[in-house]
Amino acid sequence: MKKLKFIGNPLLQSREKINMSSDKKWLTLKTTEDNEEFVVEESVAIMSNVIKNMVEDGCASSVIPVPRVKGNAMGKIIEFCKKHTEESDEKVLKEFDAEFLNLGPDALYDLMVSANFLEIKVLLDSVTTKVADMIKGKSSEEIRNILKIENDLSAEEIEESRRENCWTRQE
Amino acid sequence: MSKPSRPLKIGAPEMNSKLKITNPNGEDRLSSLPDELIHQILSFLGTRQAVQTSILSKRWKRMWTGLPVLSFDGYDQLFPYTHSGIIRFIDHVLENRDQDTHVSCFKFLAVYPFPPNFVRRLINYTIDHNVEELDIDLQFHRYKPFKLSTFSSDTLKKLKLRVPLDYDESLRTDSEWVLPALKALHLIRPPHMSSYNLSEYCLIWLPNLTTLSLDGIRLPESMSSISVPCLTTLIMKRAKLPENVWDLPALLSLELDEVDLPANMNDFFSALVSVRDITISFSGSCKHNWIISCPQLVHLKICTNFSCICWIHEIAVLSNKLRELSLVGIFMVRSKVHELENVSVKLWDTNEFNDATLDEKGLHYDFVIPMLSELGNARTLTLDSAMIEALYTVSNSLGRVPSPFKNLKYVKLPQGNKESGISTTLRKYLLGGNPRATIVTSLPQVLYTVSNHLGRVPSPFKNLKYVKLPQGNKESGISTTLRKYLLGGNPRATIVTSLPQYSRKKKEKKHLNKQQDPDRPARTSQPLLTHKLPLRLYINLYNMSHSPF
Repeated sequence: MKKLKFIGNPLLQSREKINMSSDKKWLTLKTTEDNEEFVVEESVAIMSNVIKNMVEDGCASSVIPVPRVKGNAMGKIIEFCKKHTEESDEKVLKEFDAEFLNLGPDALYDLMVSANFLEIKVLLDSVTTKVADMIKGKSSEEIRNILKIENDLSAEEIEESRRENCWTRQE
Repeated sequence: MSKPSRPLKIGAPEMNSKLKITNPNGEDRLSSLPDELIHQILSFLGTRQAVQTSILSKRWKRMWTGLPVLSFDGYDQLFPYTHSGIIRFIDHVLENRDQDTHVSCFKFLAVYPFPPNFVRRLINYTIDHNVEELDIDLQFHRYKPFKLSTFSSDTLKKLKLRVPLDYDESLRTDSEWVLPALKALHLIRPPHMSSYNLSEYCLIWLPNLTTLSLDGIRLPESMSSISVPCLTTLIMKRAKLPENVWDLPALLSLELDEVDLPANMNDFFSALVSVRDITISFSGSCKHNWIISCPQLVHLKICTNFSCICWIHEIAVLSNKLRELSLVGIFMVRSKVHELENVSVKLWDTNEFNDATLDEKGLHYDFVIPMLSELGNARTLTLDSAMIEALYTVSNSLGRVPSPFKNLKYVKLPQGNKESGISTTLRKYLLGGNPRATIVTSLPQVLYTVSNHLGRVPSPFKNLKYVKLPQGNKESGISTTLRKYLLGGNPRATIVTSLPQYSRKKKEKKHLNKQQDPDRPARTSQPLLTHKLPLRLYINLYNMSHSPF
């Protein structure tokens, strides 16, 4: 389903703010996998190191193709970047992040891979922290279930590992 | 070798089916992530749990050995280690990790008093492995002071220590403490030691230091004659400022927390010619008025947690660049800027406020109106519940005072308050000075998806031939959804930036002129649209959707 996402301040009342050729620069990011387009302010897009380098090197035209990132992940990423560009209050950002990352593991995985690819450190740190929180303090059995890891070790291998790595109780 | 059978999934209370990766192939997506990402996730878990992941699967068996982050600081209650158990574990980790992998970050919290040699061995290991960030907390355990030369390293960038330190001996002769790469130094005085002055050599021999954080430790007395050209951030807690004013021309950010503020505080401020952020917290009231003449100051935050006002603190901010002001407590802040983008006023720290007596609260309430009258240049005003309560208590006086706010755009209410719950008097006081101001519960959201609307609506244009865009827009800039909405009803329709010339043949052309230029009315006898286009339709198509209010 082709969607248009234009992320901008909805309360633009005055004419000069609406004029797209004003002092704010706009970029169109196009995800090449599913051909979705996103129009964002340059100041938001350059939170991605990859895009920042492209812009600085002057090889970014008005439409930037973004491979490997799916449309819905891109939308979420832009939402994140926009909030982080505009808000400087740490507490507000923390609350926003907590709400924002309230996603299933699949979506988190997509976000993580995309943020890694686009080199958005802030987002990557937030998502990896969230995944870590999901498995923190859990037993290996629980972690396997949460992350859907198949156990391909034999019982002896597990026991050996346990002994070597100084476990002090059965799991 | 036969595959081991899948372990039985015995129901456990924590297991939430929503947490499972619902990939229909049953694929283990996480394990296919690159190593560095898995390492980043593991780095948040503490080395103990990271090592435990070795029994998750074959791929994970040696994953922890390449982890550059070592952190022995979170001792979880589930696995109470014995004293010797921890030592054995740490030794095991250091021996078995991949020796070629450097240590980027090493955190060590001494839950027990470890033998000093053990601690030294850890420090040496990390330095040998090019550690960049070192955090050692020996808490309250008494150790013989560590010489600073113990921490000499070419690669160390961030050093945080809560250990007894020996300054004198190693620093009397030069270059015993070599930290050429150090950018951030954070020293915390161990609880059993009394406050002391940082040795000036600490600063002299750290030419690249950008961040200095001292907790319970004073700056050197000779601070006024020490040059720290790169220092951009200074954080001081629970100490006194030196007698002589510092020389910090490059400082960008200052934070003072529970610092004894001297009478000549104004001189300390004026020495900070580049500072952009200042945060000051103190308890009780500061006895002196301030003139903060920092010409580059952008953010100012002042907090106090006094319980009894005996004196109103007046602060004059002489900076044209001031944009954000955050206050906790009663302060008269005067600034000359035309517009303060964000002003946040809290009367009190919430917890303490709830415990205050009515009398104590009453004392504060009297000063709320004078305080707000100084903040008339606010553009966004954020209030907390205590302020709202205060304003209601003094609403008789509110009615008699004109609104001081000339540039107000938004008043943000604290959590739990409704815009409709605001009384007319309060509304008039807050919004009276500016007709376009509004009271909100959350500042405007920024994400708008139009897909809900455009994507679901079929194109209403059956006879459309041309859509003419306003000046400055390119046809290629039109997204697929908008294109579908506009042109979907007619395959021969096109988006143009200028209307084609009319040929003699008088083809029947119907075009839609979106500019709504009064000089060029739509040349059609039939209504082309299903509904009348507002003037800014083009922009509105992008800017649609739910209002956050």
